[in-house]
Amino acid sequence: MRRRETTLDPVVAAELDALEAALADDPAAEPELTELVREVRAEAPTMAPEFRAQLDERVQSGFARAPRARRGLSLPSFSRRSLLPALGVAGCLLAALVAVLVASGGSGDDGGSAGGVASQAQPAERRAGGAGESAGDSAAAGGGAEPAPTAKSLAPSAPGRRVERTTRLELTTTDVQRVADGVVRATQTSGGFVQLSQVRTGDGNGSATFVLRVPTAKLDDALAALSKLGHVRALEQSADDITGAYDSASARLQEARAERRGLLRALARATTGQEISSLRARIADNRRELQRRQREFNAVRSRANLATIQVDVVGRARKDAAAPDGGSWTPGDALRDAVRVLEVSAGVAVIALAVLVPLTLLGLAARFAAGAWRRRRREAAMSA
Amino acid sequence: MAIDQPPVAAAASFEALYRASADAVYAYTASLLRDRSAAEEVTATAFERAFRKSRSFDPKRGSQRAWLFGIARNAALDELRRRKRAATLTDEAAADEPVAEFEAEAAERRATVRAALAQLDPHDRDLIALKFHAGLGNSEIAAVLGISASNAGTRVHRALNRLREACHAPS
Repeated sequence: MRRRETTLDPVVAAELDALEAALADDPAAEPELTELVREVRAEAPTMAPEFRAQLDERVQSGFARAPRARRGLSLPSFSRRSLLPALGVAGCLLAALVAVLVASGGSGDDGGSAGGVASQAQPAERRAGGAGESAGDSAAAGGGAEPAPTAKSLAPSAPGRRVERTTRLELTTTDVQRVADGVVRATQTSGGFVQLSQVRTGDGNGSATFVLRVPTAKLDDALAALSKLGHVRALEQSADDITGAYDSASARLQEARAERRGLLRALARATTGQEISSLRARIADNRRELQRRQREFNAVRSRANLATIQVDVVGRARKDAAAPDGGSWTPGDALRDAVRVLEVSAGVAVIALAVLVPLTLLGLAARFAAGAWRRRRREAAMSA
Repeated sequence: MAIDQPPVAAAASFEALYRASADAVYAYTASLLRDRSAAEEVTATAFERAFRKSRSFDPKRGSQRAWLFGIARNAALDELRRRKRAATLTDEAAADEPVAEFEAEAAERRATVRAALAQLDPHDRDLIALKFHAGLGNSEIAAVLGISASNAGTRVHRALNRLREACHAPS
């Protein structure tokens, strides 16, 4: 703070010059003033030698708890002023952290990138609820980018039991063809096959239906893969115990095989032509019966070993034509996220400034007032 | 003793300041407090504060000596405020000093000056001590008191006149 300077009265200035000359022991100084200076200086209190020695010692030792001793700990000493930049940087970092957290939490609404925990919970609820349009459906703009539920089949059957599993999965997407391709790939990956497929592509209104057969052991994996292809609108699963039918078909097949073995042995023992002809006719009948029973058994076994998955893919118009519907995180997504982070960062910075600036001004005013009050109290002590 | 001096240089600089100013600081605080034991305490406190706050010294805001006397003045005022007293300076030197016949006139003059100093207002005595004992220039006194240099000059001039008047006043 620069203080206002005023010029001294010439007379005062001259007398002060004279005083300075006397203080400097100038021979040309006023004798009376020189004498006064000498007398006042002679009146200067002097330190007692004991105190002087004591003070010398304290100065030499750095006043006992000297900073030199603390330097031995190699801890830097910071003044309040030197801490200000560090506090500023820390504040900026904190603001940036908050910005990133807010931005990452907000981007979940776009469905453009991998969803968080909250968004993953939605499909699970839908699975429990069965079919029906979810209120949060609009959040899933990108088919493959939507959080896929880790769909699991029903509880595994007891050992020895034969269970037929049937699943119906309804997916919504903005790109039916891409999902249709994905359904076929997922089926093949799980070792199954596409039993039926109907694909109708259109401008955002296409649809597709698939009947898939996948090994029951791979059902969970297949469902997980299929669920990642689009937004899961519905997932229905059923399990039917077909142990009785399986055992019955198996028994009938064994029966026919046993009969065939018996007929073949009888044929080997036959001696007459009539007997041989009769046996050959029965063997032919048995072959047909055996084939029929084998088909029946294969059908039942297939029901037990291969789960049926019906996949219905429903197309829907894109809400944001510019938004990519791919499952991958594209540079465009990155750019949008970056802009979003910058926007939120700027918002946080503005809020922080709105809080910090008044606080700083108040702090400065309080500091100034405290300093003035302290100075006044000190001066008052002298006047008392 | 600049702010960025290395510790060893800063310590050496502080010691030099101490050697050059210790007597003056004591004389100043003793004149202000008029109590030798309190002056000793305040002098030690002032140097300790200066030692610990040596990093806060800014050459742009005044000389090192002015900075030191500012600290000493604040310490003395804190002491005055704390004790709420203004003990009379025990005039040990005058009491113990043998006065020879040929020094009688000088002794009388000194007694007159001593009495005049004692009569002075504390603020004037503060200025006289800063000027005569500490040997500070007007700009340095201004820095110590937190006023302008011209204001400091005017106050020093007034204090000097009052001292002169007190010296010439009939006892």
